[in-house]
Amino acid sequence: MLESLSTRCSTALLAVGLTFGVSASAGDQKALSLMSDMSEAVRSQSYSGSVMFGSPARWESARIQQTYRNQGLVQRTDYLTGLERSQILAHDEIVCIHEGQHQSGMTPDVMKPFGHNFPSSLSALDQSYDFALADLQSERVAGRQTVSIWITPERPDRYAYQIWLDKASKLPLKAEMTNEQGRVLRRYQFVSLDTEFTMPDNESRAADVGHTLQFSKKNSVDVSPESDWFPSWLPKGFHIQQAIESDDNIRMTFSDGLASFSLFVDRVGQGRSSSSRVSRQWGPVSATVEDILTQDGQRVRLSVVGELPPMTLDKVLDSAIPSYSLSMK
Amino acid sequence: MKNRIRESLSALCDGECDELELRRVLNHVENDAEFREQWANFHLIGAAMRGESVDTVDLSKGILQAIEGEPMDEVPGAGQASASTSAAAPDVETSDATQPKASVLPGWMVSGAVAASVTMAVLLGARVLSVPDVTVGSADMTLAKAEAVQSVPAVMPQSSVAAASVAADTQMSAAELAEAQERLKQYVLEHEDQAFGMETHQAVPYARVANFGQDSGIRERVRAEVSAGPAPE
Repeated sequence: MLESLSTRCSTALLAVGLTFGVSASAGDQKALSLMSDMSEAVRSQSYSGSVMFGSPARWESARIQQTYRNQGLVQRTDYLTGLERSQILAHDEIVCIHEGQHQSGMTPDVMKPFGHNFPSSLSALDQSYDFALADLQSERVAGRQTVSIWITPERPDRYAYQIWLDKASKLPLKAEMTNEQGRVLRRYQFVSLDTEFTMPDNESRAADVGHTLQFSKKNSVDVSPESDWFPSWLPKGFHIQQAIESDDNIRMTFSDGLASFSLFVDRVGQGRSSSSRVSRQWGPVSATVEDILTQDGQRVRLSVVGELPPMTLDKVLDSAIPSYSLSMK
Repeated sequence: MKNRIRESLSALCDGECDELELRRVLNHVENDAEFREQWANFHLIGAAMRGESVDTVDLSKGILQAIEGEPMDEVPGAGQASASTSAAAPDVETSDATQPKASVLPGWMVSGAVAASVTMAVLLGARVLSVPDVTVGSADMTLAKAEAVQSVPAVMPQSSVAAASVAADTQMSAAELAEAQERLKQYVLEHEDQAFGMETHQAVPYARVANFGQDSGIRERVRAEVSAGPAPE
């Protein structure tokens, strides 16, 4: 009996090791195990809480309610600062409730990237990031004891994170995105949390009074790495998630599971020469833009936008420029 | 003439430049490589005097502020952004978001093509300043706005310098520039929406758009609608 148990435990540990990388230390494996628990919690745990989010320079606040109902996640976010607006995520659609037309950016994913979109498997993330328990005393967040984990990229081509998990529920109560210099670019932190929560029916039924944003998988097109404009270089661990094409625009979105960026290709008219490149950073989001010429004299604008350091986006853009265009410069 | 230009440049860098001098500088910067270098040096010197690291100098910011007619070291935009995003400012108009961007550009800029030398720099710089979305409460873009006009490090100052030498045919009309800025704004803001996998950009038709009246709280309206009948299947 004991031998059997021991064998099963060894098998389980081996499985964990294989899943999360055999080189991980005991602390790292503990961190990975906790992250795996978190991944499950953000999908299945019911809770209600108030959360502050934003940058060190400016905080916004929101109330998040989440419940698991009819084999699916239902999450409602009421934004408590700025324009009065709410968002309900249910199964395969998001319903936004606010006055006037929807604008991009008005209903940000507060817990990004540790919310419901966090990958269910850590195996891909483990190739690009190191997970380690923070050598800190347990910090109390929202009145609850937490355990903290550092998520650091193997290369400085992306940002690092520190996350604080509720010891009891494993929900991510606090997270910070930091650059290489340790500057916090984005963070959120729960102020209160109730895990004994049941969402009232009327909080999750508003489909007729808002507008719907659909999941877009159905409109995504297949793009092979050999396609025009597909970057020949991607940061390690990044894969294409989505590609959308119209007559004069292509958008390709890539992610490593935590960070993401998009490459936009816009036809902007005729031209005789390309432009120089410009880049800019707004908190966690950077953009790099350059106009190039195609062989038939069309000017095309390449824009790379994402939550990565500008130099990484710059390298992606470099690799998306066709070789003939480089020779025309 | 050279001395006059140098004086205008100095005035611009010190935030004491009038519109006539600004025009003179912008016209000159297109054709004079030495002058462009001088401009960059003036900014480096200014930054050093202000105790900034030289790699934080953003020439595009300088150009932009010059175009907007704002003093180089006093940026009212940051304070305005902060105030207008406050939760205590519920009456901020949201309709600005749909106004043509050309209307917020200075008159001399609207009347003709934007100088080729600053087009690309303005594309990234001006779009942030003119983002009206502070009313929607997007924290990061609010931060972005504040940072962009204050002291956020320019990520590629060399590129901005190089932007001064773009070929003439890359110049855009004010309308084209406004459209390009609007599009880039859209791209950046999409990253503040839900994570990838969600169609939140403008190409998506809104299946069920409800415009609520301005006179009542939205939450009450929603609850009233919901309680009026059974939930749809």
